[in-house]
Amino acid sequence: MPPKSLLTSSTGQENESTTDYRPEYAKTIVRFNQPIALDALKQGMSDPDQKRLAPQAQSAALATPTVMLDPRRPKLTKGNGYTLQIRQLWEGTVTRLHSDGFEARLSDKTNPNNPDEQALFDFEYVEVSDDDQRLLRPGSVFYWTVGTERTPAGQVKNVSNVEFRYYPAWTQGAIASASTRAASLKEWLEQSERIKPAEI
Amino acid sequence: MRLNGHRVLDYSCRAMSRVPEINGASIVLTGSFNPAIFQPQWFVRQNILPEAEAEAAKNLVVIAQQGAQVCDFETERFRIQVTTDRFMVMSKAASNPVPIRDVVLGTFFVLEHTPATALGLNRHMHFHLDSVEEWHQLGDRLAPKDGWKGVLKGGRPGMRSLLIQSSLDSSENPEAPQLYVKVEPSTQVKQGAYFETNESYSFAKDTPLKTIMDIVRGRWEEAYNHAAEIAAYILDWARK
Repeated sequence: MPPKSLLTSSTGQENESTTDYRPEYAKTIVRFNQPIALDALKQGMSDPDQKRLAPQAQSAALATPTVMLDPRRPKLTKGNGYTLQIRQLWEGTVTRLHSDGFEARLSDKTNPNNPDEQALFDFEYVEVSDDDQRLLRPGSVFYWTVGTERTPAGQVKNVSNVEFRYYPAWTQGAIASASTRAASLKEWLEQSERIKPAEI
Repeated sequence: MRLNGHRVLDYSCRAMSRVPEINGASIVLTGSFNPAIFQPQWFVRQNILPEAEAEAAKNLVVIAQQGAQVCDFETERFRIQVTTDRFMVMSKAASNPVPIRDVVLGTFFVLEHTPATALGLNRHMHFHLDSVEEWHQLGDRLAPKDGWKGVLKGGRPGMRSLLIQSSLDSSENPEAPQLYVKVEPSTQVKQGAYFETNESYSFAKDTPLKTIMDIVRGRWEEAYNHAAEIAAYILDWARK
């Protein structure tokens, strides 16, 4: 049984290791094909029957590789070489839309002690992705990241990125459930109001 | 203020004193999951991922066989890996890690009856240290070698990995959430140190998922910032 840290931790580093320690999460979870299947099929068959076993069925069974999928924990690596050093991060809430940009209230996530600020984002300088543009309306939340990106070639450039927060729409069931709860709360409040203080 | 290039440059000067060279985070839930549903297009249909990002998902592996299931894929910003007993969202090194919280909250807003038994809020950082001396000093202060030198005769012993555990609150409750901090020499950054934090919560089987998501919602940013504070504190302390 691994310690709790291994249950909910996620990565670790990429290490060249020769230890035989095999953590719990690295268990084999699936094995395609059992190579013995064809042999088992042949068992009990007479020679003529074995010969009649369709050649394509034999080749298909033999050609199917044995695959052991081992979902090791992913590693935090440079991957394709791009890395981002975040120097400043804000969470913003859109307060007003303009034809050439939008206004937002910014909350500093790098230094949460800083007070909130108002900012005007000009489309001339801020790129909002096509997918995110449909989220652009008063009340929507976004992250504004300012940092340094390193490319695989080692080039460094300052980046400023706005990405909107995605959140699932309320389902009809959830709306119905909330409506029912609101109605019962309303009823309870109205009943409470009808009770005079002397009756309490 | 008006956002333009000049203003951005101005804000970049507020940089934190210790900025990791490589930065990432992940949120892990253990419990009971149905991996087959967690495919990129499912996240689009639930408005958890942008369509373009899901369409460009890479390395998609979906296995849906009885007793052996997994869904694993990468997008531009995330890696999502789900097995029958584990759900994980991890940020990639070139992206802002904070939105992984939104992926988790969105997913389990939709799958509100998923049974979960443990939660991990994790951050991992690779720091570059100013000198080799500082790099050695960090290992020597965290793991003094005096005791080892008497028995390891082959050469200079060095710290490969250190894992510290602490309760998140001051109570003696053994079920209290735990904080694990791992420090290692970085394998990604030359002359670097790797810090990994894991805030680990365990839950009784009948704990409502909403309670767990309230922790994700309320604690995520604090856990994320706390990890950076721990690393900065240890790096500064070791240098003294």
